[in-house]
Amino acid sequence: MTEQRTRRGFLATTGAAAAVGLAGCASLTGSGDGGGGDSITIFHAGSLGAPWEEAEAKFEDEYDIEVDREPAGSVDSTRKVTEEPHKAADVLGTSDFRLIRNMVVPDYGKWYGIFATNAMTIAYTSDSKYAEEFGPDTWYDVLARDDVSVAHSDPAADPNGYRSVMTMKLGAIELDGEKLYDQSQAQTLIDNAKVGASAESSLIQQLQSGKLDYAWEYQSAGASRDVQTVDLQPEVDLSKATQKYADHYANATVTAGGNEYTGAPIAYGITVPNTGENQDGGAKWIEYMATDPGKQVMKDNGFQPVSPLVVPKSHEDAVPDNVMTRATAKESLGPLDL
Amino acid sequence: MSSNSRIATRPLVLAGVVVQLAAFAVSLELGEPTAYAVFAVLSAGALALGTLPGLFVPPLAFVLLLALGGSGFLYAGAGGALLLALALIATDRPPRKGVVGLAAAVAIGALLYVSWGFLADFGLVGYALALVGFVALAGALAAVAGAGGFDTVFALVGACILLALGLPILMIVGRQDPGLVLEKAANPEVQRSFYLTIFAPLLATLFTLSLGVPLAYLLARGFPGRPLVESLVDLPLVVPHSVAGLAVLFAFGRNAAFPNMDVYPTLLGMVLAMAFVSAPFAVNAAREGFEATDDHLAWAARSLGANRWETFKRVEAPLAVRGVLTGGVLAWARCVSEFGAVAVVAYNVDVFYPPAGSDVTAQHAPVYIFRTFTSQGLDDSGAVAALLLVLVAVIFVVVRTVAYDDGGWP
Repeated sequence: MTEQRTRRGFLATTGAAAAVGLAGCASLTGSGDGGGGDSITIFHAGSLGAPWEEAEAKFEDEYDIEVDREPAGSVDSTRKVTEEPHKAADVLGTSDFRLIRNMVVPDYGKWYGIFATNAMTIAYTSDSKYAEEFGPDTWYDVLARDDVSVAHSDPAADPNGYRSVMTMKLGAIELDGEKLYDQSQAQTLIDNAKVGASAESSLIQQLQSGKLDYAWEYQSAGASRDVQTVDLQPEVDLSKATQKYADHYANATVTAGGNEYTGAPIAYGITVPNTGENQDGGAKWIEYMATDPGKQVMKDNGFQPVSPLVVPKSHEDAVPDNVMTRATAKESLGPLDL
Repeated sequence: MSSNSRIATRPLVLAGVVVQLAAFAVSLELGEPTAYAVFAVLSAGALALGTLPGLFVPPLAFVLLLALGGSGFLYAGAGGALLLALALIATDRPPRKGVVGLAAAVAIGALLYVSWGFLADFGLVGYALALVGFVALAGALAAVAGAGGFDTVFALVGACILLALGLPILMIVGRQDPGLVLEKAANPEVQRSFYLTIFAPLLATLFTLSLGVPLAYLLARGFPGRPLVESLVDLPLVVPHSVAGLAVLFAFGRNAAFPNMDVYPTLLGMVLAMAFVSAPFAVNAAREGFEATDDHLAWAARSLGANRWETFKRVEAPLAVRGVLTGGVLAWARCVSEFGAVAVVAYNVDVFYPPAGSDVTAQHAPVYIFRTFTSQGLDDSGAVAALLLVLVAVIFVVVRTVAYDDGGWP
């Protein structure tokens, strides 16, 4: 009897607590803006996760704006804005500015900026097979071996995926009369690599579980995570935003998911989509990323900040004033048409 | 009794399904899915009141709702009035009572008309309050008219949850471009993905059932520490799915158990990840199956000289087979829907594909749909998703019809 009463009492108390909690929420349909204060929502590439997590705390202190971040593959992040139901984002940051240029502008945003560059690399751990002989001059030999488990992200879903394939192809394309390896070696490398995840950030976990020996990543991954990376040759790592290298990179094309991607230097894009509910707050985030503390965070995490921020001349008028004071309008960034 | 009435009701069930689908298609075509939502709830109320109103009134109600068009106020008002009309048709009380009821219906319709608009300003809470009022009044009216208030209220409330489950699925399927869906159905990549999506969960289900049934039996019969083990079985339910995938990778990773097991990214890894997330469903349903069998039958078998193996094989297992089967179906369905764990462990897998006669690379359908979304957009991924839903619905119906004794039908 007592026991039953206790149990009933427990259930009643729990139920009442739940009801009070539910009522306290005021509305189940509220858009989670974190209790009344100013807040912004950011969709961004997985590779921006580490620096932007660091920047988030500093930004929140300085501007008193709460930041909600949603990391995903760059293509996925972009499509969340451009496809129904057009989710609200106040900032969109992608690992390839062309995604914003081609998919977001002009319908879902009026301008964009280029704020950082990155380089391709291969991440591994000291437990990876052949880790002791892995280096800048041996990577294309080790990754071609049958007993090595190597993966990149899905070229159809993530720029890092198609860039990995480009890098492998570029090694077999001559620059100044030299190349790293021949065509058949490039094909072996591509065939030996598995598609391991939708975004390259997931590959790190697989790497650390020991089920994967090598993962194609951005240079920034090595700086912000507990893995080792290799310095790849500039003719394959897509890091140089000069005319000569850009022309070379453009020789590699990858077809994935019905789209064709042409090789280009890795330039990160940023914008305030017009689906945002706090677009002023979004512009403040971009402004912050163009200031010294923001740039330092990017640098600490293995990126090269583009300073000042570059915005396309043709969309200059649409850039918010606070961002424009820290940006320069150009027709092109090195070889890249804006 | 049940077999006779089943024969009589089966055409009615089919007719009901056809009417509902047709009404949904028409309301979608006219851009009035809300009218369908109100109609679906109304039809449940009508069916609860009897065959006659259930058959003839919903089509009339539908025409009326569409004629009113557009406004939630009107739907609510018309709904209240119609339900009362249904109650009156179903009752055999004298007409005088009907007149009183009709007056009440008009008054309630007007009340709902005003209150809905007022309450809708409060968003979800307003709709919920309006719904509760709507259902309560309809039930009260049906009771006054002597036509089964209890049945009406339960049918209306039940129809609301069905609607909350069914409408999103109907909308996914309904908004697709048929041409694109057919194109996707003919796409070999989609076919391979669906093959894998049926096959791998089947392997995972056989795996969990073969290992889970003995555990389910032991749990049903009880042993010291049983609550602890039961909690352990339920634990995978709360593990986030991406973490579940990682757990599998790390469990069979370097410096872990069975480091040489080739789980990444292979069919084996996929099956293990699926088993991890689906085992609780299989074990719990099978346990309930064993719990529902009468211990006395097993004792009788033992007293007649059967040993434990024979008793299990010839008495307990056959009695519990329905629970085991239900567990299998639940587990299979859970595997089909799994995205997170599979995307981490086995984004792409090589699987033997009979039509090709060789190994092909395929993706689990949820992963494939996600990938199609990122590479081709919502229309293409929606078409694949709609195909998957239809395929799985067909499989469910077939399994229910073939595997259960009574055909799984009413």
